[in-house]
Amino acid sequence: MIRMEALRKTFKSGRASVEALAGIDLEIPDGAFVVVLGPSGSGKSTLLNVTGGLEYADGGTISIDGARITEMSQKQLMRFRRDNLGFVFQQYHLLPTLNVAENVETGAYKASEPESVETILARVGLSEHARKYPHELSGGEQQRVSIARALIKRPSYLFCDEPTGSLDESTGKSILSLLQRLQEETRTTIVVVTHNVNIAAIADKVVKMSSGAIFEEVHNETKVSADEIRWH
Amino acid sequence: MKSAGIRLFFLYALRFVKQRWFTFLLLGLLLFLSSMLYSSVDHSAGAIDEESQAFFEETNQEDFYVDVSQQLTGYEQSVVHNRCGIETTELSTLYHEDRTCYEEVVDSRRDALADAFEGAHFEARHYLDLTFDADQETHRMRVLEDAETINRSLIEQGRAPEGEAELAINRNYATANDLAIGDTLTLRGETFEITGFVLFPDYNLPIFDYPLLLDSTAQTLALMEIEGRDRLEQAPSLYFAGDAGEVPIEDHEASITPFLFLQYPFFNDFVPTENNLRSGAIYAEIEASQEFALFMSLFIGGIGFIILMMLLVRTIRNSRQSFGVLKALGVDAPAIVLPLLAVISVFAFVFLLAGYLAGYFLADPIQDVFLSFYLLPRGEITPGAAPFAFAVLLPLALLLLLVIGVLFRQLRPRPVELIRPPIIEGRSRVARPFRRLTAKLPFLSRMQMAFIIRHPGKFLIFFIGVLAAVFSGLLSLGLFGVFEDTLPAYYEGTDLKAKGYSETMQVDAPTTGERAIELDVRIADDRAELIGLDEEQSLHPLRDLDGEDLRGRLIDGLVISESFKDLTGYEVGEEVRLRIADQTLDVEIVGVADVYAGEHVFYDRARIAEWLGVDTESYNVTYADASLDEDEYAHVLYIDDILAHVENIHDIFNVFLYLFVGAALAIGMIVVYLLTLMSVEDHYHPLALFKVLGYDDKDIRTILLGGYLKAALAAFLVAIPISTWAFGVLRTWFMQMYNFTIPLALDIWDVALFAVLFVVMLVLGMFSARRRINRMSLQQALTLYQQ
Repeated sequence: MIRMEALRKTFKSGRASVEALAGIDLEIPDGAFVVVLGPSGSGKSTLLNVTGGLEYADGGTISIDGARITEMSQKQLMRFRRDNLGFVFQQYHLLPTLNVAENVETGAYKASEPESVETILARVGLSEHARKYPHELSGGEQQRVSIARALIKRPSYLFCDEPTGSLDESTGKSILSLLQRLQEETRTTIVVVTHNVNIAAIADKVVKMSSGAIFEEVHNETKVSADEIRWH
Repeated sequence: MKSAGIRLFFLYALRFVKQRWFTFLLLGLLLFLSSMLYSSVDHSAGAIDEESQAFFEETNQEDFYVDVSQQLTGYEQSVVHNRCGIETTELSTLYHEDRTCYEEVVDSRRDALADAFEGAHFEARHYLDLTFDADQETHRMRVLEDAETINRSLIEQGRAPEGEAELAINRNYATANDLAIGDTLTLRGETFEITGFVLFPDYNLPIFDYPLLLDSTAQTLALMEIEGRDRLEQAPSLYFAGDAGEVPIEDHEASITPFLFLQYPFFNDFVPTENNLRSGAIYAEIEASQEFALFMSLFIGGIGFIILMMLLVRTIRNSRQSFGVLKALGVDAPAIVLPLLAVISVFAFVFLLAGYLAGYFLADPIQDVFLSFYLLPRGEITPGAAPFAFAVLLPLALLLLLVIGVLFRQLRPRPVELIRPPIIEGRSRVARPFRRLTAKLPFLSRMQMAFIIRHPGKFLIFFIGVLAAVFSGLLSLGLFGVFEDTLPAYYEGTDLKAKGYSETMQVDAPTTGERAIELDVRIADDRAELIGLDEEQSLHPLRDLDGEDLRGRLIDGLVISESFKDLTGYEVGEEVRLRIADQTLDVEIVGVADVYAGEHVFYDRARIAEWLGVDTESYNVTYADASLDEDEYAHVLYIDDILAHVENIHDIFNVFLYLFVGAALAIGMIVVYLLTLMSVEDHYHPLALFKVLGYDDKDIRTILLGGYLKAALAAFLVAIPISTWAFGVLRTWFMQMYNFTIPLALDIWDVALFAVLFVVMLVLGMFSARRRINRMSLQQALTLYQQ
């Protein structure tokens, strides 16, 4: 379980400062599929980054499975991320000189019990593309590789920042469908940050943000599969 | 509006430089070094070359010289006996006993040479070597008389000596020893007044006998009239200076056949000026200096250019989408390119000009260093259009052409193509073989390879830059100690303190010391110094490379030195023919002595005496472990003085080597620094990705820098065989050019020492890159990653 209490984060630029997180209290249960919704500048990405230990909070606490990550050093955070967390971003940022299998393998480095590259590629439906290079893949396929890279180490939590932001409807749906399926198979807790309100339909829980604050938390009783959502 | 746009692009260009000021400073340093190197050497060598050519022209420098036997041939002996009534085998005896008869022999030899080498003109060159005391040291002098047509002397200051009590010496020697015109020198008890400072075109280096003894502060050439030389009571030695006439030197050399040796048994050797260290080294020196400076200048400048191009390409690529938008808005490529071009032009011009000026002002001190070795007239350093064009304008023009090419190529695509993110293709032909080779390597090693393959051009520059730095360093270190390993090592391996040379063979036992014979002989086509030793002599050990004593074998045959073996390729077991004038002796080579001191070969002294037909007790050199009575000998050579002379040269030489090693390391460090820094900057995105994925800083450094570190080590290892090969080439070149061998070899300690320096260089070079990796915050990484 992820628990956040009174989480605050302010970005300063010269004399100006922007309060990205203004005292967030939130609980994310294990095995849940959570969607954080909000417009640009609402603080949703900052929430994801702070929760994922990519940025330090200015105040408040975050505990993940009892581990208080707000009290960890950079090194401890790095290890924690390596052992427990996976990340998927809008840009895939695969290493162009590594083929698919090798890109996925970068995610397994130093993991205690990683899945085999073949297994994870089969899961994301890219077995036959293992020897291809990123520039030989479509955007959706590249995002699948980045998901495989994030999941190969069997993380307990997967943080996705606008994972369909660069994709068309059909590809976007297929990625969401993949995430949904993987969550059901592995019981990985998935947090997806997006501005696309339609994606909320596939979540167990929807967190709506604006101006650094959560203004609504919704437990989705009518969860649908990714194929069923309306994109626009 | 348009001018405002240009102002903004100028600002962009200025900020481009400002943000990378340290990188540009280092690049500027490379351009500065490149320009300075060319300018300094071109100005100094050019001035010396111009002045020397005029000097050689004016004094009619010999085209070659012919070495002749100091012994009379059988035919000459009979003629001398019949016409002059003198029974002797040696020219020196004849000189003392009948000067007219001596001159007839010399004239007949000259005429014979003129017949043998049709079209050439010959003139006898007499020289007399002596040692004298100066400030509690023993200095050396070679006395020459003025020539009639070939190798005329040049009085730099003062006047030529007249009569028997005057002499002119080299200015270098006079300056180093506080001697002025009007001062006197005492030679063998006779006083001579210095009337002027003299130069000889055939002695650009004060090399009298051993090539590395060229210390112009402790030895001098002297011009005397014959009457003056005769006061020294020693017969001079003889060779012939040659003017090739209209016939090419190669054609004259083609006249040297086995038949010529039979027909003219006094003939020893034909040495063209360019193969003669004392008169011809300057040609190779100037040419080699200019070529080396040009090569190094191009190399250093080339590295600077390439790094600058890489920097530009990367910067433009990073801004290509912005430039695409600007192009779409109607801004043309020149408006973007020209301000950048102007800023880079000013930057490059400033550093190139500074390098040119520094080189110009350094040229005079460099000429001083040249002229501390060489006995040549001083040239005037004048700023020339050609060096300015080559050191500043040409590289600037080339740089600008490259910059224009790179910038326009980067900005040539249509706006929409620029705006679209570039597709980086990972599959490459270059990478394929490496992938196969590294498929089974650990993960981090494969990652390192992937990052190297991503920028093969940059990697190649890095590899070549490091290779060149290591090669230069190893070469410099290999040159350290070359002097010690030759003559000093030879003498330090003996218990010799002094050598007393007699003019003729002696039979009565010396007052102190041991008998030895030293003679110039020919072995087939090669000159050699034959040293006759007794088996029981104690002052001159003779060991092979394994330390085995070879003295006992001298009775069985010839022992050759390692250096002579290098020169000739002779092996143990071969039979060779020794020849002095028309006397020959077939003898087997029985050993190779661990001696690197010229063309030494060793044989039993009594056997040599037998061969020459003199008493078996004969000797012409006395080896002693203490001082010798100088009155008993024509001249006495003290080993400590020789070693001190070599040491003087060695010290000057080492200054150059230290500079060379320092420059090699500095260039290597700049290359390593810039390229590792650029690697880190190029890999910001993967760096960010790895940080997000939970790789720690050590892992990231291993991936990003480890490959370069391994490449640097590989370059180091590759440089070792290349250096060994280059040393071999240099040895061969020296042998072919000057018939002189240097024990240039890669020593394991040199490699170890440079390995330490190299690691320091790498650590310093990579230090900043590491700091940049460690300094990058996760937030910065994430921002980059998300962009």
